[in-house]
Amino acid sequence: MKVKAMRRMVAHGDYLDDEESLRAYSYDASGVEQIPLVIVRPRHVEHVRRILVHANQYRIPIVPRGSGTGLRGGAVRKDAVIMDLRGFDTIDKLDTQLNTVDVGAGVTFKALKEWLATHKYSFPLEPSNQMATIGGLAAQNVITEESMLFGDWTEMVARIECFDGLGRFQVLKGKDVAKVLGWEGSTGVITKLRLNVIKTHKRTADVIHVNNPSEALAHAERASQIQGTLMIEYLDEFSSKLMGLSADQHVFIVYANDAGSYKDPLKVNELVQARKRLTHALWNEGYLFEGEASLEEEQIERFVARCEAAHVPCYGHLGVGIMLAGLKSAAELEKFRVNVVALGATPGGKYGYGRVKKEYVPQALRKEAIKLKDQRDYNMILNPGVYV
Amino acid sequence: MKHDVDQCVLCSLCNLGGEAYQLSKDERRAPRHVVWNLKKGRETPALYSFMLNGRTEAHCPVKIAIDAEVIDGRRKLVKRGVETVENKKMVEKILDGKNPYKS
Repeated sequence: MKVKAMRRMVAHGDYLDDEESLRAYSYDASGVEQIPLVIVRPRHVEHVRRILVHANQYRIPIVPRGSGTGLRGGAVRKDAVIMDLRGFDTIDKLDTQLNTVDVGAGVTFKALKEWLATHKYSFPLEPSNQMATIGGLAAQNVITEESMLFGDWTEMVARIECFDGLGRFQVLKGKDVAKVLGWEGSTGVITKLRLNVIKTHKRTADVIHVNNPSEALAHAERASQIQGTLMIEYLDEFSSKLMGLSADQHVFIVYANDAGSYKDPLKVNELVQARKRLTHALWNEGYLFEGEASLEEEQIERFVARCEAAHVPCYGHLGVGIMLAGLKSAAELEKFRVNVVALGATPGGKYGYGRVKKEYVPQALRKEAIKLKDQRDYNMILNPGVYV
Repeated sequence: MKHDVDQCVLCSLCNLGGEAYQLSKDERRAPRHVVWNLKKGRETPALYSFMLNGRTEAHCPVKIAIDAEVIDGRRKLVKRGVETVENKKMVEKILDGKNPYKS
């Protein structure tokens, strides 16, 4: 009854409680499955406010959701109301003086990319899954290859419009955006973002054949000294082959200037897109699970050696210290995580932790989450079970 | 190389090819949800409104033969007696020796 009252808080047809809708929102790309209570699809900030105030009054858990492309189960929860934010789908106000654009949280990356391209602009943190919504990517603070030069989402988002757990509308700017970005909807519901965009720029690249990871690291070290290095990627033999290179280990470096030897923009774009689609290429080869690890430089060599010994394809962002591995089963993935912990590294960091990796949340991050929850959502209604 | 629905990783890239879904944003109509249902062995009447134009499988990174799986699912539905009204009418006309396409 308390949940049913939400029917009046959204537009007609935007309160869904039929069996098929509940099933459709019971999973995301992580494979986690939990049947929610109902689905609400707000299209206006007033809808969001009403729902959150009501949820607070009756302690009803709310899970914000975009396209459901998350890999950590952060947009799925049983006995919760799923708040589908794709109704906030406008792109407007490209400010060519400040190089910013205002985007609704429900806009997909693909739609934004195409819109910006018509204005000769781009948003540099490009995810491999372009169906993901901007709100979802920001909420997870997804790390991409380009994070080496541009940092994470907290650095590329100038301002957000959001609600805290009590239903209070807020505009957060500057460093304050970090109170919501990266916390997977557990500290706020984002409705609009002002993104820092860049004018479409020249990119060049180098593809360097290496014999071992230490050679790769040496090249990475040199490349990181060059101003404008956009990404430094390690590719093992198998990943190289899938990218259309020879079956050797490679370092793939992209520069936001003329420093690379590949200068043809079409060729560079082809290589970048091939790198972005590497995960998809691995899926096609039966490696349906992706392992990730945040590593210190000295751990990378051991990581690659272990993957090699276990015949596990690996690749990753040397520039930001995140390595990825292709795995064939959930059991292999679990074994991989145990091995990463044994290395002294963290099995996560690229896509957030969600429900799948909650046990791996570093202690400092958990403490920070508790502090933010106390300030912003002390009734624990926003995505409970994620971080805290 | 074509895989079956068990290989689906639920990435939702197939949704890029779902016209009805793109317009409605209705998750029940999402190609991913159709595949998810098939993966679960749940053939639902939603299979009848799935467009068999190859666009969804063109976006599938795992190269699942989605259209063939949908056709197979529809066969199972017919065997179970779950048909569209239009289909039933057509079959009745054929059995009566009439033109199935004439209203």
